[in-house]
Amino acid sequence: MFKSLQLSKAFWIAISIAYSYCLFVLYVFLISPGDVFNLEIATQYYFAIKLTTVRLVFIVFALIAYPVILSRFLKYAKYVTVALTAWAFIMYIEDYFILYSMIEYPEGSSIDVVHLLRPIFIISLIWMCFELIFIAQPRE
Amino acid sequence: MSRKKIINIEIELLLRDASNVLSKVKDRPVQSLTFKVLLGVINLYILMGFLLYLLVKGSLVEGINTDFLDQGYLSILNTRATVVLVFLMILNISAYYNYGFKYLSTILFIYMLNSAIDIAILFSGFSQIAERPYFSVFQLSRPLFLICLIWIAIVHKDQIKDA
Repeated sequence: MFKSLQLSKAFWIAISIAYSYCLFVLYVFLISPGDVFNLEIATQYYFAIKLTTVRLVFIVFALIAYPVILSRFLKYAKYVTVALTAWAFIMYIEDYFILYSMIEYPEGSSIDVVHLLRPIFIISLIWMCFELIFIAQPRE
Repeated sequence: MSRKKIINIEIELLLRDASNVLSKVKDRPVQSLTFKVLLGVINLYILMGFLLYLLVKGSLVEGINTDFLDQGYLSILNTRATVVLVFLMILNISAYYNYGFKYLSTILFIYMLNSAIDIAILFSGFSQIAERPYFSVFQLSRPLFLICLIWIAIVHKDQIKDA
């Protein structure tokens, strides 16, 4: 089904990285949410968890919908990829430069790994955008 | 066929050809009236938002719960108002040169949607809608603004063949 898309190996590697990261985030925040019982910054934790929960819902929706859009509507896949990349990048910038005083993520080694890998996830998405905008052609 | 009918057909053909010629002026598609109206609405909404921010920052607006602002809303509004204004400039330049407009409007749509969700999650518990009427009007009209952004991306003509 995906062979006719004429996408490079680099694209598939990038999408694999993006999916692996998203699944890891889902695992970390749903299965082992870390130390959420630090009462000194309980409000910030509460906001961070609340915000993350809403974001996770969108992530699940995107993970399910993206392969369908990529395989059936390649013409629109580039816009969806641009939107998702913009969303990931905006969240990253906002968390560190705008909402830093309002939210505090729970402590835990797996959550630290999630934050460390975030730039790699964004780079993967940016690569996918370039590939879809400049290289991929819709099938006849 | 009557003479009047023939003249009408001729006029229609001439007008159709003329519109095609007009759309190819300077190798750029002529955007529709809907596009121009929507771009005007988007500009107006963002500029009014920035004006509201300036009024609140200068304490020129009465009837706003200051506790709500002290919770961090003003600092968030400060950054976002500047970012959105810069984005609006880039969007207008993109519309003028007709390059990457659909991508930019998509990115602005995502930015505004994300900021609306953040505000709804972080500040919904601090204050009632009636205690911050100006912000509430701005927030409640956000879905219309988002619809405008999607609509303008759809009606935008990238190439002359779309025109």
